Amino acid sequence: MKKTTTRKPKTGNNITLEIGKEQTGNIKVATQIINDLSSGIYSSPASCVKELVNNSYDANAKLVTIRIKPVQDVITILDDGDGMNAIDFDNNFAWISKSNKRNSSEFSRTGRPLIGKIGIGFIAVNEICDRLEVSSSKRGEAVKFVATIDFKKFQKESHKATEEGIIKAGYSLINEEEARDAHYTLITLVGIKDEVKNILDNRQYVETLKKGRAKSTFKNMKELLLYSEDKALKAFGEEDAYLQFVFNLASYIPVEYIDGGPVEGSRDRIISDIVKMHKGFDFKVDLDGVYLKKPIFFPRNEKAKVKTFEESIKTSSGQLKFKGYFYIQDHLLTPRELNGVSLRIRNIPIAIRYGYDTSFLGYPTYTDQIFKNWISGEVYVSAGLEDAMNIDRQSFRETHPDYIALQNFIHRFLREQVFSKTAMPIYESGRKAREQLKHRDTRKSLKAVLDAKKVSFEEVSSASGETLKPLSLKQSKGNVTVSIDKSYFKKIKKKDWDYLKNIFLIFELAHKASRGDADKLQEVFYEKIKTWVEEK
Amino acid sequence: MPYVHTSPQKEKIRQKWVSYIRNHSAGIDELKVITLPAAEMEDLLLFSSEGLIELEETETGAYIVRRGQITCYEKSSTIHRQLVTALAGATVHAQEIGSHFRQNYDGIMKANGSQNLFPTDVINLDFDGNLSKSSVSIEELIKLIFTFQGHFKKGFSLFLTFPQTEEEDEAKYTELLHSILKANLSDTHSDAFKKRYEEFYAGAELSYEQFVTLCIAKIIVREAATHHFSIKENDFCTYGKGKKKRMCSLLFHFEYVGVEKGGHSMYFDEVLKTIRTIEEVE
Repeated sequence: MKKTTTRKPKTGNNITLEIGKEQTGNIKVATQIINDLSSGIYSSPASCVKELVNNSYDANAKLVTIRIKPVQDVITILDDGDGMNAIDFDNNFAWISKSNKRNSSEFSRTGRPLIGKIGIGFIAVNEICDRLEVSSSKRGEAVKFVATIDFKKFQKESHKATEEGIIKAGYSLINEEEARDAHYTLITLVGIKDEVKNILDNRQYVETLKKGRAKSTFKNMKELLLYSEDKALKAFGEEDAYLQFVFNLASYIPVEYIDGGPVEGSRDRIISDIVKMHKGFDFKVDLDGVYLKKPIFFPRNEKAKVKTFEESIKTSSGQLKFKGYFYIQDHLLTPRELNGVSLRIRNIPIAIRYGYDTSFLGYPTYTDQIFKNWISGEVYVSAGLEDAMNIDRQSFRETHPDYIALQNFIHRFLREQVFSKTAMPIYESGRKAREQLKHRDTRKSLKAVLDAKKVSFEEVSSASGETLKPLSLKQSKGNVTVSIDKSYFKKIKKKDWDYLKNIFLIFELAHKASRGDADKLQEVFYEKIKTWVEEK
Repeated sequence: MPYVHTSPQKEKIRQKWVSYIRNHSAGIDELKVITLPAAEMEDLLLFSSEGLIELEETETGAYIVRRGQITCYEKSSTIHRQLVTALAGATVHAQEIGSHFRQNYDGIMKANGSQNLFPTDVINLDFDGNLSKSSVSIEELIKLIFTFQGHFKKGFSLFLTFPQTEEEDEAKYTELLHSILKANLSDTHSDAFKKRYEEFYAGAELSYEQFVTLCIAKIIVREAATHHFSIKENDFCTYGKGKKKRMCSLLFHFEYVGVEKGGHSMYFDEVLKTIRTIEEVE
């Protein structure tokens, strides 16, 4: 009988599944460009850690546990995903830009749209630590591997170039027995760089909290967001570095929205679909005891509106499909980092920080500026646009037909649906209320200045030949009537008239009180000015 | 038989740990603890409920360390992963404690800062497995502990709990213990010890349990003396009857006394105490 020989898979570094034998290999990048990118694009700890979390998501993990103990030099990331064996490790990560993740399918075993494309993310952590320890056991296999990747040796400018590529790191690996039902990946970052430790060290933040509140820290993401609001911070960027890390990381991973988010009380179908989709991924990230959730939560606001959209557009490169929403309120939107539009491909935002393009895909800056500050939007792209994405996954090629098509849609939608039909009415209703409020304040300050129970205004016209003063006062039983010459205030800008009117009034009052005494006039005039300023 | 991490007797031992820590941690705000907590983390939860450290239960069900500096060791990868999930704000090593100490010797000795592993305030070696099967012997582990702690000249509490495993003990381990006892009995400085030992046992054989307890206590006391520590407080306990595993629990609090006050006399007196004051915890 013919003997069938099973060919053992061969990896770039000739790694095998043999138990107990120490094996070594190199992690290479295929081109200089990838090498430069892998060194420069991951500028924050959040952007490095999110790559590992997104790898866990792609591996069908339900729970990722992140433990940060930077003071003791360690970050641990553990997931319960499908895991990998030594051969998978070498195939997927030992040769950056040749990631196999998308070769076989666009979706994971459990139907999640795969995020990772070229494997570059994994090596991103070399920006924040000297050494990486990886231990993983693949679903259904009774073996695990433990690998140590040493970045420090290769963290010099002249990386070792070989015929096969540039060596980014070296590693040693050993296979050990493991329970067959175990499946996980455990990554430990060791030798955290000092500048990263400073960001991740939350002791100062905890001390600040202890001074201000009974609790020692926030219990969940919603509390954290509300805490930021309590502090009247306008931006995540004003927060403690540790909290910025938390918000930034949570912005870039496919976790659920904060309970009630993104728009509290919204019953819109598209928003519900988006929320349900994220819940359906069944993906949780535990960062030191808190479940990370998208830090997008607009509390109930009767004056706010939501406009949603769902479109399919044929472009020269194929079909572009997307859906999303804009949230519009009647005042400055905070945190400021959410003021913009978040374009999501495979549910991950493509932007530099916190996931939002604050330019609204280059919306003209000279128009609708007030309204632009009030809105926040998200666009989930389900087909197309991916080829327009630059290799850094933070920006797009703006000449790509899919990008142009999306940009045109968004700009038109903003102009026609958001700004004119929604934001303008909100502004108008708000304006009336603002003017009434201003009017009320003005009357209140005038009552104090004129020492009157009631102040009323009337407009008068000068008869031909008669020259009236800009205004005159009539006082009777605690009530004051102010007669204003129409011809004066029509020549003056409204804003200026509002101030001049008060100054004229005060002068008339002071003049009456002074009974011709110039010094008395001066004294009373300035006294009344002071009262008016204090009341304002 | 499977190890049961809790029993009325073990609870009494744990209360003794609390008592030791409370007696000797006045003025310590951030208690430093090195421990082998297992998945249940019984000791850490107890220390927290007694106010010695502070653990706060979080949204995810994990406990986060709010006060105290906790370092854990767990060589089982399954239990290690459970610990990582259950505990935040602590350091959890997926390694045998002795191996970690041995591999990181230089780093630990050169470390400089309050967040470092040593000096510690409490080291709780609560072994549930066979001591003889550790990759680093108990003798070397104890030696390393006192070397590190002595380097930083700081007192600490040491708790060592282990099962009696006569049937499964490795020959190398038993031989080590025999050599320790033999060396002691033949040491010319130890006539007093030899006399008391012979008086007490009057020719009768030590049971294996007594033998192991005696030898391990001797290792500890020897290293304490060598590294200039004196014993402020100690308890030696055994428990476990019927179907429950026989356990031995040694508790010490050491004070660093420097070169002058340590020495052989303390060593022999304390070792003699071992063979007379083992408490059977009911």
